[in-house]
Amino acid sequence: MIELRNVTKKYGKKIILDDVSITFKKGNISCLLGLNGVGKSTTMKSIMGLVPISKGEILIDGEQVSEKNIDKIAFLADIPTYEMNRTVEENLQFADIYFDTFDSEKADRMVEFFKLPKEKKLKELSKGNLARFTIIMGLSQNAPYVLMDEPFSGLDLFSREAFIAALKSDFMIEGQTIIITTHEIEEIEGIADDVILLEEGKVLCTFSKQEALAEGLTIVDKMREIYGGARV
Amino acid sequence: MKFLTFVEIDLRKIFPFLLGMYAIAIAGFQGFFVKLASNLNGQIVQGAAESGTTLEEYLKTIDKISLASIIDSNILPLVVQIFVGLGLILLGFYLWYKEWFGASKRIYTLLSIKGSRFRIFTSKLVVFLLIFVTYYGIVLLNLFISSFLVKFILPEQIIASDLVQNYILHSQFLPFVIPVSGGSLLFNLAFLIMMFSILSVFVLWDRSKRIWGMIGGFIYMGSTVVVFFYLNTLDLYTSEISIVNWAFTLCVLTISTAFSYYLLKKKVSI
Repeated sequence: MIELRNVTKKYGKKIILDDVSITFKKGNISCLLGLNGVGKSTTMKSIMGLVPISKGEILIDGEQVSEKNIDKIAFLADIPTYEMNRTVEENLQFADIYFDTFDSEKADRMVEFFKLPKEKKLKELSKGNLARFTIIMGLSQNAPYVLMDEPFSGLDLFSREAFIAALKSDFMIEGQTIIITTHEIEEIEGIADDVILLEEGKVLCTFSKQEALAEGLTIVDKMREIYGGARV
Repeated sequence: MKFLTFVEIDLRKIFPFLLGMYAIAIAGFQGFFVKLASNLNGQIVQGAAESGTTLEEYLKTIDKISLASIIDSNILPLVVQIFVGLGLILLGFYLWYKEWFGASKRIYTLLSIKGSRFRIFTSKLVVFLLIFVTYYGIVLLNLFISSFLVKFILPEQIIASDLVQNYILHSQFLPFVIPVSGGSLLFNLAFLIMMFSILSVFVLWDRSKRIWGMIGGFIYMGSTVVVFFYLNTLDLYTSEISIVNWAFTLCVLTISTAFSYYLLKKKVSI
C-alpha cells in the first residue's frame, strides 16, 4: 500500500497540502476527488517524488519512495510526457528500454485492442488515442501501483468508456492498485473502491464504496450528502 | 543501456540541426578559403607580370605558401567556425533548458525511471561534449579539405609541405577555435563541463525555487563569468595563467556539479 503520513507541501507561504494522511489500499481503485486546485495533482506528484514535500513522509509497501523503488509506481500525468515527434511504435521501444518491467507483448496486445495506429507520431494522434496510448504505457509497465492524474480530462464519451474498460480488463495485473484523481465523479461510480475527498489541501472525508452501499447510497449520492448537494 | 538510450534520444533529436550547422561550417570555411586562395593566386600572377620575368622564374623568388599564410591573413574562414561553435553552445544549452521548460514534459518520464536521477544530467553532458568533439573534427576536416583544394588553385611548386600539421602548430588564430594540443584539449573539455554545470545550476535552481532560484542562478552564472574575466586580467606569466585557469575551472566545475546533483536529487519540482 501507499501511505502518506502527515504530508505538508508549501509553495512559499501557500500551503497546498496541509498535514495530509492517506492510505491507498493494495489492490483497490482509489479515487482522489476534489475541485480544481485542492491539491490532487500535487499529491500524485509528491508520491512520485516529482514535487519534494515540505514535511511528512510517503511510504510504499513500508519503505520511503526513492529512486530505488520508484519502478513500483507507474505515473500517467495529465499532460503528454512522451516523445511527441516519434511514432507509437518508437515510444514503445523506448519504454521497453527505460522500464525494466515493461511488457512489450502486452503493449502490442493493448495497441491492437485499442486499434491504435502504430506508425503514427504521437503528435498526430487524436486526444482520445493519445489517452489510450497513455494508458497502454501505464499498464504495460506492470507496476503494482498506477497513478493516473485526471485521465478523463478532455476525453469524449467513447474514449472514457474505453479507458474504464481497460481498468476492468485482463490488462490489469493481479492485485494492482490504481489511484485516480478526477473531478468528474460520475465516471468513477462503476470502478472506484475507495474515495478520498480533498478540500483546500486537507482530507475532507474518506469512504469506501461498500460503506456507501451499506447506507443505501451510490458514491455520487454519498458525495452529494457530504457536500450538502450544492457543489457536485 | 538506459544511459545510452538517453544519449541516443537526444542525439537523434539534434542530428538534423547538427548536420545543418556542420554543413554551414564546411561550406562557409571552404567558400572563404577558396576566395582567399584565388585572390592570392591573382596577386602572384600580377606580381609575375609586373616583375618582367616568367612565372616560373617569379615563383622561385617568393616564399612557400602555407595554410597559415592564407587563413591567418584573413580570418573570415575561422570566424565562420567561431559562429558555428557559438551556435553549438546555444544548441547544447537549449537541449538542457528545453527539457525543463519546453512544451513536452518528457522530464516526467525521465524522473520516474528507476535509478539515479543524475543520469539525466550526465547523459545531457555526454551529448554536449559529443557535439564539441565532433565540431573539432569538422574544423580539422576543413583544414584537410583546404590542403587538398589549395593544390588546384595555386602553383604546386610554391605550396609548402605538411600543410595541416604546420598550420595546427603555427597558426596564431586556430587555438581560438579548437584545442591544438593534448593539454588544451583536456582544458577545453573541462571548461565545457564547467559551462554545462553552471547552466545546470541555473536551470535546476530555477526549477527548485522558481523566481528566487532564477535570480540566484543568474547571480551564480554572472559571478563565475566576472571572476573568470578578472583572473584573466591579472598580470601573470603564461604558466601562471594556465594554472589559475585550471584551478578556477576545476573549482567551479566541482561546485556546480555538486550543487546540480543536490538540486536534481532533492529539490527540483515540476
